Amino acid sequence: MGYCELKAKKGLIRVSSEQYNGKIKNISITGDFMVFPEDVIWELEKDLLGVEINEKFINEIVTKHLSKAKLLGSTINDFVDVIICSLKGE
Amino acid sequence: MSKLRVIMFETPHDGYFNIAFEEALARAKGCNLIDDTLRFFRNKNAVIIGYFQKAEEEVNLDYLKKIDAQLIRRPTGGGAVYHDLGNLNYSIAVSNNRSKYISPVDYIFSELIKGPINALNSLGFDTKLENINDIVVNNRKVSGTAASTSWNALFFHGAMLLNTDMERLSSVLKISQKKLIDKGVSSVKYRVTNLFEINNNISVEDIIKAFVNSYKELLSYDDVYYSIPNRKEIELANLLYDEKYSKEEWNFNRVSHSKFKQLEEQINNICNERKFFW
Repeated sequence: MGYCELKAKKGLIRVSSEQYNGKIKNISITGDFMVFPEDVIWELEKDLLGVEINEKFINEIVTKHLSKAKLLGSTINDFVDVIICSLKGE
Repeated sequence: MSKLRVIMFETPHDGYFNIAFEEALARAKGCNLIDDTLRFFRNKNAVIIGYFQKAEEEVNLDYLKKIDAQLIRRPTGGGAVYHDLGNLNYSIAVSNNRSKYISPVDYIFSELIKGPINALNSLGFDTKLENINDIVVNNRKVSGTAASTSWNALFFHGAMLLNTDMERLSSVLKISQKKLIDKGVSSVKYRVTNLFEINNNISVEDIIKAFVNSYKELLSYDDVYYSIPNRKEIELANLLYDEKYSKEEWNFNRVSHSKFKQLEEQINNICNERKFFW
């Protein structure tokens, strides 16, 4: 079980994750950040399941989802960084 | 002629219904069932967590139980807040057409957020916007705000500290060390303050009047009228309460709006009934 949190310009992003055989088994992105439309976060979590733990792949998936959203006080890189940090078990 | 409707509709003992009504208000505006509406309400004893938050990460659940407070998830992002009768909540739902030239989210956090700031400034408070969505008086936060653009309306709301029990607030909310370090304080109670501690000569009525005037001017309404929820809004709120806001699944388990598919259909039915009604 990996956990990491990142304080963005506005809001704290927390990521809890589990991996199995080098792939993402479970992931949840929680915190007091603001993303619009909100449900893009659940779509992102769903799309990350089963993905190989590889920074490039994860970056692509996070960017695919969050580039169509409006992030208030956080960046796509913040989400990428905290997800990868969680998967590294840091 | 554009009109601002004001409602003071609250169920302080049942925070679940109060928050269900918040979504109902946004939905009703999105379905064009109501005029632009400014609402005020209070909860007696509740913690309201943000849409993306996990209850156990944000709330001291043992203390919550000890003080017998309700835990309710709201439909918008942002952080957890403690509500008692010393906290005045405000929300505004306006037409999407307002944000013709900028994105809806930018409109909310550049224009609609001026409502509370102008209101407090008109009462003599030295009020500023900080950190995107925090309303600050004398360098202490008095109101946090959040928003949604999900339901074909612009929905903005906030909680304003008037004379909230700060011991309870700081005991029931878990604040991350990273956030406290970022703010340079050791406890949430050193970062927030009650408005009545700054000036106890103003009343709740003064604040409500200042809000109404502020929004009337800000959004150039021709008129303001006071009202009560209509049948459709109550119907929407009842549905949202029964199917979502009174459920442990919603409040504790962090599920998305889209999980409530049947509810969505029922809400659409209520919205569409209007066409036949007219």
